[in-house]
Amino acid sequence: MAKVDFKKKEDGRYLLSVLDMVCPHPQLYTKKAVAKLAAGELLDVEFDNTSSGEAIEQISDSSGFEIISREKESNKFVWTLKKV
Amino acid sequence: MSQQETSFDKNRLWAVLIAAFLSIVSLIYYSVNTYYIYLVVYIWFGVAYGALLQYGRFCLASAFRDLFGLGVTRMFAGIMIAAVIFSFIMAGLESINMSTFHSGPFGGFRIAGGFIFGLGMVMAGGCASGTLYKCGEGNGTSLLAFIAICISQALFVDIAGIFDSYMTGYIYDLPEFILSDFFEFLPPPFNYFLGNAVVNTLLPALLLLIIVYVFRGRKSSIKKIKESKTAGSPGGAEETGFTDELYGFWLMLSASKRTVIAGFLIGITAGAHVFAIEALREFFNIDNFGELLTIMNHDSDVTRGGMIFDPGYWYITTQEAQLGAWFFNIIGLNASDNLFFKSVGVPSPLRNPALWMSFGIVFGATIMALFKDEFKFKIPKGEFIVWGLLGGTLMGLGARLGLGCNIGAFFIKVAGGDPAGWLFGAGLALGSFVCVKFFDWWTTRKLADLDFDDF
Repeated sequence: MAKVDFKKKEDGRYLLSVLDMVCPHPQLYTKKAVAKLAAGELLDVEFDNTSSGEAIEQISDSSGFEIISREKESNKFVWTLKKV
Repeated sequence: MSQQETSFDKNRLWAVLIAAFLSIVSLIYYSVNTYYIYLVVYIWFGVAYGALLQYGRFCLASAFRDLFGLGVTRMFAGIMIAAVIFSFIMAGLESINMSTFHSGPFGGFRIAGGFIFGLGMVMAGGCASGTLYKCGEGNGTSLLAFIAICISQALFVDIAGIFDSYMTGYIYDLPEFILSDFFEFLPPPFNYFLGNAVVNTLLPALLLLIIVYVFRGRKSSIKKIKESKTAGSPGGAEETGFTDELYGFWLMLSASKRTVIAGFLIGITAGAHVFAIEALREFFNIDNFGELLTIMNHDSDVTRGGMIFDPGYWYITTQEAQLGAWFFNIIGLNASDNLFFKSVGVPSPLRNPALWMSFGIVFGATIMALFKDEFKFKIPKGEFIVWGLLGGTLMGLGARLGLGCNIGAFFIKVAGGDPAGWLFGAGLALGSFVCVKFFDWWTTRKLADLDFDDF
């Protein structure tokens, strides 16, 4: 099932998994998940919809986060965002 | 060599093999009859569109959806850039009588069709061309949307004579015009450039971009400008003037270089496509590929008047309706006995140039995705099966009601000087707005269902 998963990995670090989803779901979930973090906390976003990456990059300013790393693991992107 | 590098090399090999396959297909067509060079040209322009769409992640659904839902302006800017460039090329082609463009009826039906199409494209996660390029990336939800577009159109135009009545009782009475018609006091090419390119495309596009800048793009652009000023002279003034606003506008336009490059190249490719098809028509002394099919004794492919759907430019949905009707005919359900298919024909997919253009888009996107290591088979799951099928069905209905999709009824029409394109665009924007608000509510609800004790 393509199902959103949003959970705490460790103190100050969370995971948002939006695999198998298409636009606009991954970017909408990312925006809403970031809104729930406190400043300085990290969010690892797992997604595999390439065009969502463009949108996530473009909302960093308006949603108040920085992309601090971008990894690609066997057809899956894992980007780490930091709430500012 | 790492596992990732090996996979990347394999992907590139597959990309080369697909390009080789298309080259062989082209040679086979050419060897069967040189007339098929016409169809081969459609294939390769399709490949070019597909590769560029995938490269720029270029999709009209995201232009409106991300603008309304997330405040992202990059795709809206990309589409406007492509339309403006294409419009000037089209005006030049009109001036030398090398254009295949034809205007369409002007009326409120464009807004209604665009609205339904807009709902569908946001729901399915891609517009008509976006759906094809995402199929090329291996996206199963887009494949479902594609199938639904084919089937829904073929059914809609054939059920109970509704579409026939719609055409004869309403559409046929509507006026058709392009803006250069109102500038006939100017000699060519000035009437085409001023009426079609400047007044119908450039000025409205600029106005819309300014509105988008003021309400969406400005805040982020001006913030960046202020930050760079402060960085340059700590404690310095942070005031901004008109030059900063112009630079801010430019920052919005160029926010995604990939999108701008794709928009620029798509505009040029669309113009080259029009030129190439018109040149072939002149070479073969024809107005429509159906004439060549008739010479080759493929009478069953063409209409009673010897024609076939042959737009002469980038187009998506009509050929997909033809594929749907062809499928129904194959399984013994006659779907061709209606005004729509009597005017566009139901040819074999093997001899349908516009459909080959669509296949070309899929293959072109696959080649580019493999080269970028972005190809992945994704089987649609859960709610995305519903979004794909329902979105595709709505796009199919919208395309037939509005007489085209985001390409044929919006992009091409706007750039060709036909103001009806903007009506369809207004409908697209409205439909997208409604659907993105629905998804905004939907995703909030889904997140609320998760356990939030940790927050």
